[in-house]
Amino acid sequence: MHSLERCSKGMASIIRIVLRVRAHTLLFSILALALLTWLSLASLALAHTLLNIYDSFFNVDRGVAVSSQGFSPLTALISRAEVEKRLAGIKNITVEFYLVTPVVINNRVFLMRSSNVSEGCVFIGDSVARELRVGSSDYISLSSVFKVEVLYAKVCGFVKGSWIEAPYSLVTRIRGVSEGYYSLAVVKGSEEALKEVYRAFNVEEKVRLFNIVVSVLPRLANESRAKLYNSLTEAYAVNLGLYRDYALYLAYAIALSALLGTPLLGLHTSKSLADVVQVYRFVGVSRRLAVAVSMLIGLIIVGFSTTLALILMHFANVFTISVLGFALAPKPQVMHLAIVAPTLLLLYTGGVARGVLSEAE
Amino acid sequence: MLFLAVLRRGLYIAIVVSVLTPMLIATALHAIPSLEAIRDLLRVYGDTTLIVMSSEKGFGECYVAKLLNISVSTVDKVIKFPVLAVEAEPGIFLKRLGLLGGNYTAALVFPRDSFEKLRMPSNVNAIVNGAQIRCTTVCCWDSNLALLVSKGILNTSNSYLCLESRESLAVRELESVEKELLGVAKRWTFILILACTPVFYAAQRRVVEALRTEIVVLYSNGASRQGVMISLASVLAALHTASTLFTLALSITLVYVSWSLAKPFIPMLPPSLRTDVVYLALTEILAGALVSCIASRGALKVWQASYA
Repeated sequence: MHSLERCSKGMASIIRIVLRVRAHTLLFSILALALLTWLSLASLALAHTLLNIYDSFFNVDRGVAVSSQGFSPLTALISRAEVEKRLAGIKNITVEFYLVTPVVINNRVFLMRSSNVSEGCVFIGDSVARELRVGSSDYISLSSVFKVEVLYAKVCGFVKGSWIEAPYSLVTRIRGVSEGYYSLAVVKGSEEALKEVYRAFNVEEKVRLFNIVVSVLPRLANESRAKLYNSLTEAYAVNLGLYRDYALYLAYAIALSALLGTPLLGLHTSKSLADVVQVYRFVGVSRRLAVAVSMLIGLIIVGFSTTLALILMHFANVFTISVLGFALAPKPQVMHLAIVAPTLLLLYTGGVARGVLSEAE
Repeated sequence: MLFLAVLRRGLYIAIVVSVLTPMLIATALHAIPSLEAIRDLLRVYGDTTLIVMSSEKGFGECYVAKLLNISVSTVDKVIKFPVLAVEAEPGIFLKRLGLLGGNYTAALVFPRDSFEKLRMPSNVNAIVNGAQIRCTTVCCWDSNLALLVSKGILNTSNSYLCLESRESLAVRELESVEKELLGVAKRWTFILILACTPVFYAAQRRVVEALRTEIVVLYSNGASRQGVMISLASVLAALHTASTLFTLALSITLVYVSWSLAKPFIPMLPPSLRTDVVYLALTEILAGALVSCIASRGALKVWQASYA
């Protein structure tokens, strides 16, 4: 107990000295590490946002999405009657049908989604309204990308988001499909009920139950096959030859390799701490304690730089992608931090410890 | 002598390691498959002419157009009606839309339900901006507004109607998505190179520390302080440049090799390298050269240490 107290007192005094003598070096390391951590986090968060682009738009959440094979919900179609026939008899589920279409307003392409809006009206996302400079009760012309016709509608209100909500009949006209067809259905209900949904589509249950997409493939020999995907975005992107998992691995690889230079920074930090370490070694501090103190300093630096990176992440709006009226900003998840921070700690303090060890010899 | 020492003792490894990551990532991100490849997939949907409304002259053929609420009168009825008025030669314009063209002075294309409601007249009178225009009716298009096409109905308007092919619109949209993605990739790698500058510095300082003996030998042979520093800086800058170019070449090779290795297993679009990666390489070289000036001052410390 006594030795532990002495040890911690010793550590505290060394850190105090280091701060007094080498504050600029530490600040330099903190800034450099913060930038690298920010980039690393941003790449993971941006990949996450891009790979879940549709999931947030349709609010699949803990439900099951049913769609057909297509490049995107904008080109996929399912028949409401067919889905309802399959789901008939399953109790305690709610089914929401969505039809989405690209729509051209003032030479810009936006997304339009069917919703409970009265005929002749549209509800416009607040960011879309700002971009198009339209207000309530304005009339807007809506061009289809599937048909030559131009339609018009009155702006009856606003929604929070980057899309446009319109009555189903208007969306079918812009999308150029007959009534009864939708882009996808989201089925929600209890775990038991969702198991029955899977059975109804003849797909095997997987361990993970929620947020799985059942893609109903076109009828082959009068029999529709179904396929499971881990996310809505994957179900569509796979048809473009993009595999979500591989994109995710690439993002992880990029995020982690952004940190690959940090051991060199760690070595540099230990180098600049060399004279302090030498003095302490001279007065009889053990090598182990010297390394432990340096690693503690490394830990403090990592802590500060991670905090700074999170602040940067929150305020610096540099990596926003705007697609179809959506501003896709990187949204960091706790998981990303759980990957980046330990890696940084390992690489940086590893570098510091390695440097101090060689200095102490 | 410094250069030879660096090469012989393999000191360049630290510098290669420091420049490797930014260059590799820059190349990988700038080699993402071009969305041009997806363009072919869009052909499945055939090609049609689309009407794109715009507040300024857009792409394709553009005409002055305006959304108006006009009165339309037939023999026995007068109704208020929303129309899209277009300043164009009716015959040619309607033919472009795939509707029946004829030698009209003014044409009014109705939505089917309103046409039936008006009991399918062959001519109607439309009042536009106070002037009465006799229009030939054309049936029908699947919209909720009518289309009025004539010359001399709109003199000025701040909105345009542009006829653009679907493919052109799709390509425009794909290009903007690609531009956005590459823009983010470029900003990201640019900041990465800036953030890696301290790493370049750390690597170069390691080389300087390792060259301690050589520096002392140079000083003791009467080389001036400045001379040593300048030669050290140029050696570091040259090493940094060579390493950057080497890793750039290596990264390009890696990207293509990994694509061709993965191709049989995963269907992937081919990578297409953008020239912007050259600018990023130049930024990295510049950052390294600037840092080498600071790092070479380490020689001064060596000198001080050996003569103190």
